[in-house]
Amino acid sequence: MGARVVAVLVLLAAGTAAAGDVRAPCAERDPLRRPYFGDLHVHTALSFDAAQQGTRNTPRDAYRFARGEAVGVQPYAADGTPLRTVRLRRPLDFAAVTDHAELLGETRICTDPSLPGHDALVCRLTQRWPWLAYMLVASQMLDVAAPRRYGFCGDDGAVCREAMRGPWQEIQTAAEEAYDRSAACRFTTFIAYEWSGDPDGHMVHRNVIFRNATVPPLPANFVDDRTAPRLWQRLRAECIEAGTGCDALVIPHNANLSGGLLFGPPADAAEARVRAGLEVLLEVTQHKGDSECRRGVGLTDEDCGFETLDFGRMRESAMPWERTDPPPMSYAREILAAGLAHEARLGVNPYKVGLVGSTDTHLGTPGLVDEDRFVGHAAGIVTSRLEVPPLPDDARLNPGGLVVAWAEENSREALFAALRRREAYSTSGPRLAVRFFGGWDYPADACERPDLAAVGYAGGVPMGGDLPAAHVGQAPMFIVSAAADAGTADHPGMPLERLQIVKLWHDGRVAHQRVFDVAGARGAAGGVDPATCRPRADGPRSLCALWRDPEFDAERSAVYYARVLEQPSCRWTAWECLRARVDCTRGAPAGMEACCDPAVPRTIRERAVTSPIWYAGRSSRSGG
Amino acid sequence: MSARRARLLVWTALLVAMPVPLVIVGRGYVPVGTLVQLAGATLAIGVLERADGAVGILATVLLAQVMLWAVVGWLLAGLVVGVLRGVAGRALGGVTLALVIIGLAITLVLPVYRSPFHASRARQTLLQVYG
Repeated sequence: MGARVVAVLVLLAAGTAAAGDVRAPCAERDPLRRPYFGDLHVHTALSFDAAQQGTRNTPRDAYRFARGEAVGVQPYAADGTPLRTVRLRRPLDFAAVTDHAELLGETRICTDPSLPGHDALVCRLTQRWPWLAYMLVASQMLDVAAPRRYGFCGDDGAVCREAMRGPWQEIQTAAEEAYDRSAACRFTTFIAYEWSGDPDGHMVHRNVIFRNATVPPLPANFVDDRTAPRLWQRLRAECIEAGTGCDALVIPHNANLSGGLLFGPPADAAEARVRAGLEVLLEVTQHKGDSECRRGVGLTDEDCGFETLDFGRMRESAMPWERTDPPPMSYAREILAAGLAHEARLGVNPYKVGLVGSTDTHLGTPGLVDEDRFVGHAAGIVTSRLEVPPLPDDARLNPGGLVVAWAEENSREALFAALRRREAYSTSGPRLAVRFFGGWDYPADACERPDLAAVGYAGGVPMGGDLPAAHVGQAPMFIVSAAADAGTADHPGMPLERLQIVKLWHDGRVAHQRVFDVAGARGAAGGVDPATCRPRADGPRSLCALWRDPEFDAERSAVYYARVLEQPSCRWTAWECLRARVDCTRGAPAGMEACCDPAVPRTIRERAVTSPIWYAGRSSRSGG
Repeated sequence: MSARRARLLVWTALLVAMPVPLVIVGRGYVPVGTLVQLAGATLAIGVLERADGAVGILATVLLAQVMLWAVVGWLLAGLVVGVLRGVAGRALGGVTLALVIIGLAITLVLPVYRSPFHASRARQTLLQVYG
């Protein structure tokens, strides 16, 4: 084992020394990788919806905030002074501003009097009644299958496309300025945008993250490229195959609100291959609900009710009479299992996605995930544009999560490589450090070993990887190790409750799933007193398990991922209700009805969900 | 001033200045005239740009509220004028006018409206809510 560990370390070190942006080498570099915490889903005032919500923070402000500086958020006083100021308890390690590519030009025209079209009716509407414009324009441009640009964009939309150049350049400049190219390697940025299609209100949104400063001249957008294959085609033509050094990956999100369309069946093997090459991650944790799993789809997993929305399209939050249930393929477990079925049919798995989180903040405040300091994210029908409502956001929404990448150093090259190989995971906010390895022959004392990571890499693959071919008569083993979030002096992190391994497989007809508790126990002492939000008792600060699949079938392909649950803590709504001293025996005050609604949980189990490890069954390996 | 004219005057004043609850996304109290403005802007987008998206439902909801409050206002104006006629007798015109002026003066000075649609203020006076 020792020689293998050394060999793996050498390979790891060599494999990530590829040339990238010009920068000083990082002073700190760990060949066994460290967890870096970031947010890859951030909107600023450049996004139309954020601007109409009163957001004034720019990409530059967003990066300042991510690095630990305080920024103001709406509402603003008449003199422009923000009435609320927010600051992260701990800075992030990396971030990407992902403003909506759609309406990027229109938003700029409507806010810059020097640009042609500024006096158009739609722009006047945004200036006179921004909240009405928010509803009307978003519904016409972001919520329909075939959006058309407004008249002021010109017959072919050229005026608005041209106006996109300014904000797109601003996004790039802010990312370049905030990227720490010194040897300290404190903070990394990625140039990025969001392609935001909503055919009939079904979200098929995708964040596009670029590896370096070489990017296409304009972002692709749903108005001009209305299908995901068109987006991928444009990215390949203008970036990946352009021979310029440009490289990108695509992160779909909100499968829960996509009506199953985010992961529609691939047309053929070629399309599946293109998709698999670009869409290597899925954002399962964010402000607008969790997309890991849900109860009621042949599933009794009681931990699947976490931040699950009770509607299938965002518009239904305002129009409950249109309410629909999310159809199949709206949650990661269904998607990952379906990928195995496609692989058996096409020879390629189009849904080989790692699982990550982010916020989807529309305030320009990346990483603002603390339940006790949530100020809303300005992405729905509750607005703080003019005044802060009693509850700062829709009680069904949440502060979102973070993406964690295991990388050798905090640089674009290392982090992008980690994301691409799916050695990344999602947390619902807390900074949990989670390792997940799969192999065939781990030592029984792996969890006690001080060199657990080296053992994990040497004996198998990390999260995001593929298990090598099965050893005859053996079942795969998995190491899952988690360290609780230490938190800060004023806000210590919660202890851990459980480690779980989720196994998914597909028999060609239906998907199957099993959840195994591998360490800890549900309801173990601890958690918080929901009446005061104070922790009750301490608990484990770390858990580790070595687990062998007791039901392994070498013929059958399978997917495994780990889930780490913290002990229960107060949800953001409980903190708000506590601060407002709501007494439900007297009835909730106006605007705080959620405080006394039994459907709104007072406590949640914050969590981390790792990217999976895939096993290709013998029949699949032989091309069956 | 005839009772009918007095009723028309009170009704117009109510439509222009009486704060009514806003039943649409967001909470607030606005004059019916503001609802007319919002409905007009929505219809303008529908006619001059296009009528897809939320144009239909927003215009319907806003216009339905306008019609509801127009009817309620007419009934209320009748009630008010009936009371005034009993109290003021032949001075109905003067008393009605004075009442309307006092009401408008209050709404011009105090921020009695709360429109989430306003561009910059959470609470507005009469001029601000239309401004």
